[in-house]
Amino acid sequence: MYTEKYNGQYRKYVNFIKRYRAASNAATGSEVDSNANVENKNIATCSGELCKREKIGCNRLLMMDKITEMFNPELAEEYIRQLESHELYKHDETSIYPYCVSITMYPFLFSGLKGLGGMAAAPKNLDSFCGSFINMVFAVAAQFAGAVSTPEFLMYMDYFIRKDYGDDYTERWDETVTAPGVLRQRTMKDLVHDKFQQIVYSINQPAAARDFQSVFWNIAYFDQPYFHGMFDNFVFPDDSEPCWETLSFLQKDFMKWFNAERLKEILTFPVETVNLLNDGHEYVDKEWADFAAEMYAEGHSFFTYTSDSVDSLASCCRLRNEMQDNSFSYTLGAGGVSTGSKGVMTININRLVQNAVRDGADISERVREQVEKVHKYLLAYNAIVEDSFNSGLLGVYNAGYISLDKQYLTIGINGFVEGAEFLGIDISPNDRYFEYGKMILEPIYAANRAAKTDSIMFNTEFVPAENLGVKNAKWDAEAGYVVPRPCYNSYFYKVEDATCNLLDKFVLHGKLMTQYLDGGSALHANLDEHLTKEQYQKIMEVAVQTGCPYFTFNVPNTICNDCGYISKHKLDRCPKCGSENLDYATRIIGYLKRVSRFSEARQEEAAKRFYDDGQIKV
Amino acid sequence: MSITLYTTHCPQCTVLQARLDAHHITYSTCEDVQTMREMGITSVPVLDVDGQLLLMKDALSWVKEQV
Repeated sequence: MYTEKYNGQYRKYVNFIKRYRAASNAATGSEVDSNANVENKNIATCSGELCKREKIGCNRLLMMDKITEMFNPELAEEYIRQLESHELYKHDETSIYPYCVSITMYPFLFSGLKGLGGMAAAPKNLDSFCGSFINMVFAVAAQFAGAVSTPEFLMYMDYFIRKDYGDDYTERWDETVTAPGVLRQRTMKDLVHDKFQQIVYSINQPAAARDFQSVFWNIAYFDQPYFHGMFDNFVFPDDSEPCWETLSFLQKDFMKWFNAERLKEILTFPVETVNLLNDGHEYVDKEWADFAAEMYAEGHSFFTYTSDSVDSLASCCRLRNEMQDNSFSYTLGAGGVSTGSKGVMTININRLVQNAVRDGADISERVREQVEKVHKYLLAYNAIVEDSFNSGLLGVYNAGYISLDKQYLTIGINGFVEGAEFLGIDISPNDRYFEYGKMILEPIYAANRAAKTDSIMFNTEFVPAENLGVKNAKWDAEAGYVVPRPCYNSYFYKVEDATCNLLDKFVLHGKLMTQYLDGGSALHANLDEHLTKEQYQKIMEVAVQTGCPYFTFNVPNTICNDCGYISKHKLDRCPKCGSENLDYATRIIGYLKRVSRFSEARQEEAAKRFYDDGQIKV
Repeated sequence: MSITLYTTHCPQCTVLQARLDAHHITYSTCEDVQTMREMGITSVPVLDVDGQLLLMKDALSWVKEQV
């Protein structure tokens, strides 16, 4: 009797544990949420995965109740039908948290961790700032399913260094700053680098409270015009203001340090974004644009965001024109302050296109119909988040780190390239492909703008789709749709296409396509070897000319599995010990990870990626 | 003396408001973003003291002077 009861209720969990034990790595073992950020396959990650299907069911019932309450039961049924038939995907259904956030740390300056349920008071010096900052990042991340961005991190750190060591600390960079009796004498530079190390290694530590995932942590660097645009009205608790000269120095030093540190360990986080203003022709702050090119040439891997408007980045305190387009808010990276996505629902464009053709329907009209429904679904989801907020469950919001009206409700796009291929469109910079982009994206863009209110903002993003790209391709193939590859692209180009050169990719991720993508996309320019600073400068100019707002360069790093040597080049043999037992690190969809940590399906996709030599085209 | 705090209740606005309250300064608030834009305000908080618009730093200095 008991055997039957327990078999009926719990056998599936026991079976899951057995399958998880046998899986090649943690991402592959996950049946609903494969994610290379789960570095270790262990009892904690197994436990985290165990009940995810139940959480999905719970979230769907919450949504059905809310859609019925706000709209009608038929729409609630339609929501589930769309999810189960894979026309639509709700990201991170395995958690009940909001999705991702870029916080203002201002409350932390005045209240420390107390607003987040901690005990530490406001940081008073560099030591307490660094320690409490780590705890703050973990505390905030505990209430979000995805990324946590702290764009002000280095600006605040600079403030506390100046408080402890004076405004001229950069001029005394190589001077000893420890007391004479201290055995381990440290220069100013040593001391700051020790703090970098403390923070970065601590935050990269897989966290028990997050099912043994590390925090998905983003930071931003600002050039001078963006700095002034964002922080000219900013005042620290002692009434002092941020200092551009020392912040610029610290930003550069952190980038240099982090790049060098990645020769010791494959440090995934922070994901970095350099924000560079352009005037429509060239970068305004040439010193910072040159520095970014220099860092790319030195093998560092980070995102660059560029725009011709300071208002394109979200700010905690800046008033924006309501007629203006949405500010940049990409779920993978950091840009502005006080932004993010409360939730993301992604449309399977390949399936939508094929269904429209099958039914003889107008594709743009089908997009409009779908967006109308997604807006309602997202409004229902927003109401659920508001219910949590009103019940005091969202401490990060209550404490003032972010507000609900500053975050977007996001419509994701996946299967875009595959839908175009189904229509026989060549995936290259050509009029037909751009017209297809307009046909799909413009109706969403227009609907988002029309639906904007004082408290609700929608945006559209070409989502990274780390595991969704694989899932959609699998589901569509099983349902008999035309599926050209086992993982849908996360970009406007085909990752395996050797004929699509570097410049083509910038054009495809340029203004012609992204003008209707108000939430962003990320061009990953895969290169087989690093270019020179001058070559990167030229390519970065191409980004301005093509209107490509967000990009990175991706050269695989090599890790020797025998001696641990790390190279920023793709090698066939370890130059230190001669071993051919090598692993490679590359961006899975935005963040740097060992390929062996990717899910098996994503490893297949990674193996097919075309890496451009970049030489002739530049 | 006419004092108006232009605020969106962002964290900096909250700090300035707390300072005003701590010093028992009487003021009114304006939360209408359209009005702020029409006045040429591009970021908040702004304190209007008898027609003079003070940004955060100057506003804090002014509050201190009132003690």
